[in-house]
Amino acid sequence: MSEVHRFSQAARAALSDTRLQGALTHLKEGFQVKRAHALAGLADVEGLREAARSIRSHALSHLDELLLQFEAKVQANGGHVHWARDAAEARDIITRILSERGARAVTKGKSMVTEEIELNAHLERHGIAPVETDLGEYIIQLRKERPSHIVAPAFHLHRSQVEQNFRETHGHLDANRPLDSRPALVAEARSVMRTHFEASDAGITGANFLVAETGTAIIVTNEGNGDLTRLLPKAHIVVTGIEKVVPSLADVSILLRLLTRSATGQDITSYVSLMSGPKRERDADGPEAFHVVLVDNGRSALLNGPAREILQCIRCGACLNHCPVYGVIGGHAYGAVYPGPLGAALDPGLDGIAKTYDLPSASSFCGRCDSVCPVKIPLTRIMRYWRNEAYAHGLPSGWFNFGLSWWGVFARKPRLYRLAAKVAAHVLRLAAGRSGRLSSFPMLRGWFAVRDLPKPARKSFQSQWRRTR
Amino acid sequence: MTAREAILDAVRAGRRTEPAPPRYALPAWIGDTVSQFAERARSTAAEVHEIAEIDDAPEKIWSILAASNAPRSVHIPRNSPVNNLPWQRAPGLTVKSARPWGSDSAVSFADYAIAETGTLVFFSAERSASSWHFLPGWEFVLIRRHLIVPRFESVIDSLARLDGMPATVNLVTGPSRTADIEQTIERGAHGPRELCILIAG
Amino acid sequence: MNQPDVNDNEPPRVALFVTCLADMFRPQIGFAAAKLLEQAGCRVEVPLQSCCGQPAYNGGDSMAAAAVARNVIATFEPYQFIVAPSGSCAGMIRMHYARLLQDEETWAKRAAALAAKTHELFSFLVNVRGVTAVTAECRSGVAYHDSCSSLREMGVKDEPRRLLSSVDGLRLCELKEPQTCCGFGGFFSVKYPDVSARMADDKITDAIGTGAEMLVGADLGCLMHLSGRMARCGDKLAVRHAAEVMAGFGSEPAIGEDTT
Repeated sequence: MSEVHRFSQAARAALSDTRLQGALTHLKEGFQVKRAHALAGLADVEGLREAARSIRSHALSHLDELLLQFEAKVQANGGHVHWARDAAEARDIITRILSERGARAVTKGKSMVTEEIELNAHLERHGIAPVETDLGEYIIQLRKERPSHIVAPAFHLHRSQVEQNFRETHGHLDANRPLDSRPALVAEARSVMRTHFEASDAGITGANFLVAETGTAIIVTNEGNGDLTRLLPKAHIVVTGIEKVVPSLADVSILLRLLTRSATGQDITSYVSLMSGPKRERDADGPEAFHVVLVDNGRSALLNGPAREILQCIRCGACLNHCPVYGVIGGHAYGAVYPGPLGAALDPGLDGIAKTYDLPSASSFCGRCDSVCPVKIPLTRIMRYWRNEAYAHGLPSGWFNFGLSWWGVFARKPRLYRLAAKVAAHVLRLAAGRSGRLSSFPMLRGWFAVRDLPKPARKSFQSQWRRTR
Repeated sequence: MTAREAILDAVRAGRRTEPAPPRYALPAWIGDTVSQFAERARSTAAEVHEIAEIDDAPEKIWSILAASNAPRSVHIPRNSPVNNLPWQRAPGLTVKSARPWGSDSAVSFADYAIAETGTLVFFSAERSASSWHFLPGWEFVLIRRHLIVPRFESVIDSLARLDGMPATVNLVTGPSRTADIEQTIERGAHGPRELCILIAG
Repeated sequence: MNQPDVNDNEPPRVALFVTCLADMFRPQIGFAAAKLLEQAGCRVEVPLQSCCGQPAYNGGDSMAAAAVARNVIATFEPYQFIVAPSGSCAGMIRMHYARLLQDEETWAKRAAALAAKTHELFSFLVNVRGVTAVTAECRSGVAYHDSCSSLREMGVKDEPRRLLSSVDGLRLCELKEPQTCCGFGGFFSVKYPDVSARMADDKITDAIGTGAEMLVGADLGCLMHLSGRMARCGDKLAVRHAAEVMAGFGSEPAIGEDTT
């Protein structure tokens, strides 16, 4: 089955999924409203956006320098830096670090990069059991699902679904315990997770930012799970894309102001943690070993191309929250690691346009994502670039590209175009008969599947105008 | 060619000439820093009290715990200067040095506090256990007035004056929370359910 | 390069970019636009035209789009102003032509020159010609649909509302979510019909919820999509281009209702 049908099928299923539709209303009433409110508290939003954009853009322009500086600092702090060209190399590096330490129980903070490289399944195949500690990620791990949103991975679920998963999984607890409230579910997750935190041999987190001048990886959370993942076990592994590095802590401070407001409408998250290596000798606690795995997986190729700006992304999720398409189909229908406008701009670079054709195509180009992106990524423009790539590669095959190339031939010759339009109008008018509209036609099936078409005018505007003027 | 060389090569190909952007000028800080910190911290669901002197802390903490259902004990890291406070003035409280858990209370000094966001700043050290900000059910934090600064930018300046970064710097704002179930906030996801800040003269 | 002579004593020469959809499906939009422009003191001309090239541009065929663009530039650059009753087509010319032709120095310059004098109809009337009111009558509740390109690309928001408010007897209604896309998006509406239809349904529910009897907008693509969906679902809101109402054609058959 072609990719177009798979996406369309998934979208259709999502549209009729009443539970999902209920959850999606939270996007407008929750995320959109909260973000607007938080930004209203800032004196100079546009100035900050431009500052954030220029920080990220400038970092990308000197990325090799910054990565080398970051590496040197991490090593000076007593940490290790590893480089992975692709997902397979990243998985091997992480597995090797864990095996060398004899680590079997592993806790994980939320990391989209580890989803991207499909780490968990790989670890499980090697006898290592990773437990997601972010509550949303934990829930979808139990359900063997992918995250449907990059900030709120389980937002598509109703709490009754969470209750069911907890009852199925936490078999050691009293079967008659009440679990039909959010506080009860959170309390249970808290106590279950404590045992995992304590038993963990190694903690794996992502990084929201990397800081070159200090060799620091930064994570932002509200739960505190990322910190317990880093601080309790003997080893801490940071898995991150290469594009996350910025020059200084001062740069992070600017970006942070927009990140939390854009993502959850908070002025700051409950926890922001700056992690610069393993514990110092006399520290009261902290990991003894610190590893950073820098993952390329298509990013360096993107850097040198027209989709470059997508690497400025700070993963706030605002584009998802404001996208009218994401807002009616949710994240899973996209069938890719990163959904929404972010995914439409990024996934073709990671997975190739053939596999991800639908993502930049299933957009009405309304431009709302561009307007809310805190680092001013030209998402629509990048999606258009991927459409060009698709067209150049003959994707999708068939009527559409054929029709489009013929349309192009006609459109650049107005007289020919108008002649063709006259013929088309005539045919459509015949099909419409005496009605003011058509409800079916052998072409443009996608239009007529869900709506009528007005009957064309008997005479075009231009021919009427020329007669009267 | 190693992976490192290959990646750096590929990244170099993406170099552009782009001047470093000017440092963004934040608006001038106005108003009383301490009261703004207290106000912001309260808005994040932290409890905030002002005490005349740091030595008043044990009695204050005792009075807060006595009015609750929490255990009558506090956990303090072995090497923390919090141990040097007059805990004998709160005889009802037991001081413990074991790691706090579940519903336990812990007490620490903050290295700095940030008024802009109501945030506490902790540096990892011999006398400061980073994980203890995430383990207890109730965290009590002591901060001296003169260590409350307007913005994170001031903390960055202080960090630059140190001999290298601490292994871990934690910025803590309010208690732990999650909205991962039905986008509704619940407290005490993994970290503390309660955060109580004592500002000492 | 063929740049116009501008004589302040003469009425400005405005080339009407009627849009390929209006040309074929709804000529009265062209006549309404011409009437409004003439009432605002302009001399309206209609050079032979086909399309702005956006279907190819957004469809991924930049070469075809560039060829169309060069044609449009050569045809329209002799005029003082180019005005389109469409945020989408005006946006294509004003915001995208220069980038499309950025690798060809002369064409890029000509594109930029054309862009500078290309306007969406309502913003041209209000901001360039200083029109504050129109002389039409329409006793109806009217909801205005901001197309995404009008709103975000061309920054048009108050102008159509101001002009509609001046229509005698017209009761202007505001949608709850003017910022949310209606689901047309050009080929998107054909390639992803289920998603597009759902977005239309949300917009239609919003429009009906205002209590208006009529829905108007600045872009015929959106309006054909919304009226077509309403006809399929049995919803009864008359749909017209806002220019038609402002020019006094508001009681002519609505979109999809013209049986002639």
